[in-house]
Amino acid sequence: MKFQSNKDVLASAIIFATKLIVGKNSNPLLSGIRIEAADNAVTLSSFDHDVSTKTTIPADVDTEGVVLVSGKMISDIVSRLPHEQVSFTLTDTKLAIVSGSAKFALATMPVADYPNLPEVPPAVGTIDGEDFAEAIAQVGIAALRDDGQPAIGNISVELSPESISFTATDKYRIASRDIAWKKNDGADSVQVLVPARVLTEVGKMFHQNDEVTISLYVGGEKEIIALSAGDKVVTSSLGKGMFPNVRRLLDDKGHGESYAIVSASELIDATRRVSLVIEKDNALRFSFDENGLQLEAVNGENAQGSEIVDIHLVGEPVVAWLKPKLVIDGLTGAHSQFVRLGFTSSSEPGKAGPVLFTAHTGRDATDVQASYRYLMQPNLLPR
Amino acid sequence: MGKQDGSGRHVTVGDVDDSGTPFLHIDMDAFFASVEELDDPSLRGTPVIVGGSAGRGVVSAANYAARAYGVNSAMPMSIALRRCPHATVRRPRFERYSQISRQVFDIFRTFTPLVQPLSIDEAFLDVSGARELFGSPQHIAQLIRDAVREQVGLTCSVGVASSMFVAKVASSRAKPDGLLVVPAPDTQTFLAGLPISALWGVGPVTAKRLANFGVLSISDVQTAGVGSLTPILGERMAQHIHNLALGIDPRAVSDDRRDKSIGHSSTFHTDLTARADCDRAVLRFATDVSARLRAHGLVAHTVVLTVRFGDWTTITRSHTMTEPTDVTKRIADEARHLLSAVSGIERGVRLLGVRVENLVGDRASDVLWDDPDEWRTMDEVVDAVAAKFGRNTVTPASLLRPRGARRASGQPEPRKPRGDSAGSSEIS
Repeated sequence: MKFQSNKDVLASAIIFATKLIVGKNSNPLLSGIRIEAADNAVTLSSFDHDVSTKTTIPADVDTEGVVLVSGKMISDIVSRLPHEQVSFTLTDTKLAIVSGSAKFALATMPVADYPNLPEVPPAVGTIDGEDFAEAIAQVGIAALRDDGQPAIGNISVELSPESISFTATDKYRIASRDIAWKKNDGADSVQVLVPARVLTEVGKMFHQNDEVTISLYVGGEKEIIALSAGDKVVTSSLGKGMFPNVRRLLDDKGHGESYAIVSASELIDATRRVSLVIEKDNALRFSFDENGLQLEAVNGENAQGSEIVDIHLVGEPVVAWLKPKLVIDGLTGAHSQFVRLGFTSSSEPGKAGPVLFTAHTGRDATDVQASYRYLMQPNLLPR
Repeated sequence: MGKQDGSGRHVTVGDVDDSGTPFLHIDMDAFFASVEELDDPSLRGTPVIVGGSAGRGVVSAANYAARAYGVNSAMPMSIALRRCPHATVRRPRFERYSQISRQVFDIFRTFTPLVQPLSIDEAFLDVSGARELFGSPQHIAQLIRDAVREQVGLTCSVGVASSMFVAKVASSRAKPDGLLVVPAPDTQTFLAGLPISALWGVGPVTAKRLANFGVLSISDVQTAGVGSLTPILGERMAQHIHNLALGIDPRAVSDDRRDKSIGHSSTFHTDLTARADCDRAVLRFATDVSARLRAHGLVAHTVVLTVRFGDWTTITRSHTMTEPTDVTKRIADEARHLLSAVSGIERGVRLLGVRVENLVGDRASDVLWDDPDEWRTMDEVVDAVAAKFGRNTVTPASLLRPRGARRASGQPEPRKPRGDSAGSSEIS
């Protein structure tokens, strides 16, 4: 095997192939990357039994062939090569990488033992790459980063004729985003779970693609989803477990009777400032009334902080203790200059109701872009 | 201090200033003996002694009718029966006492989550957060006394004060069946009249040393000042005693449950070499541990797996969850996941243990939603069956032995010759 390619093209392909699988596996074969040169193109693939990637790039192929090498090492090398062009040459069991005057030789692994990648199932529809990336970025932050709870380490993906809904929750908050898609005829409405870690990376990888194709195989032994755009394909085993029915919490009719419109950037800045004096994971006191929104931080006798930001309040004054990180995530996720915070009353004494964050198009307007919804639970009111 | 026989009793009559007194100390009156009277009303009004059998036993508790004859707890039974020969002696029934104790503590917890048990029949409560719901501390103390009497059928004595120390002194003064509020401004006057031995940390030796310097009562300590006590007691003890004498006790009521753990481990009769056997054992221990966790009303953040191999090398693996849980399914999943990453099982596993740490008093209440209801419901059913028919009546199906395969290879058996190490459960 021998081929030449552009260093940047090859580096981005290798990063795509290794990002989702590297460092996870005890079987060294599965931390490898399979490189196949044929027909003036090079195909790189990776697979760790849960996630597979495949990407094809143009190259000048002198000799066709296939090789399996450590993904981590080749990724480190190629991204640092000094010259525009890079050549790969396989001699016996060594892969030589040459770029300008830099030369490397890597041991290879037995490619015959490498497992076959899963087949890409039938497509169910397509979605705009930028919309997809935005939705995943908005929702992914709310997924649980804890491998102990399989179900909510996933993003729930609900395919319906009109839209795709992405939903994630870590119990403290729920983030959800609906986007339009082009459903293929005959595709079923279905809800699947996709590991949040995988979907978050794929969202970033595909954000510049006009069209991302979604393919699904459900109902059998190895349920998978495939997402493809251009010359890139990612497959992932579907997540297991029962995803809690949190949409009903979002759809609660109690939201929005009283609400505040805030400037997202102002409130993010103020929240960051005031929370400097509290311990991580402690809550700030948010008091919404006709004079504005007062943020207060109290760290015992050690330190206090407060700040007032302008708001437009509709309804009764509200006091809630909210965790700064959760507030900032909700404000950031709205992707809107103004954000509407809807309050719900609570039947339990001492417990404020959940706060619903939605994008708002203008300070005094009443229309709500409800395609993005972020619901967070305040802390118990301290005595 | 109140006497054990209830003489010198001091109780509050009518409403007093309880604005600065959020601390309650509640002590059941002659608890064990009262439970015996409750279960056998014919004993009422007659002397009852609970304790070891006549002769070499010791008095665990005596009711007030027996105390009138000079019977006190911790007294040798022989002396007790000499003083009160016609007393009815009952052997202690600790299970029954725990059962009643749980009912009583459940009542406490309906008023405040801040309940610090001192023993089976005694607790501190901080009711400062309960004022809006239930009223002032004095009122709450009376509500609790009424509830304990009506729902359980026993009497208790309550001290209400501005600090835990003073509340405890007050309850002992109010015994039996009394309520004593020490208004915050009266604290020093109240303490002034008490003997110095009423101060925590003052035992006979310290009391004698102080007496040698003419410090006989708490009022002497109050007037002495730290400076003059320091040469006698040392700086720390002097400060401590002086603070208590002024009613200053900086401790806060804590439910005292953090940093504890619940575990179950077992040494096997023969080393386990099959991963499936280890997996089943881990599931069994996790099932047991989570049931006990729920029985204590706790949730755990951390699951710890201990594996001791045949050559005594021991490894522990732990995982801390973002979200604490008491759900069997989740604890078992965590423990089995930890086991799945352990290699070398074929070398032989001598002991396996599952424990949960980082325990907190309650499920986090600031979440939007909770664990899937079906697992929680299943746990509740399992717990209810266990409460009625005993542990292990209902277990995960994978722990059942195949029909006709008792002692089959798959079932880990405690390694009997290794004595005490076989099968241990502990709460620490």
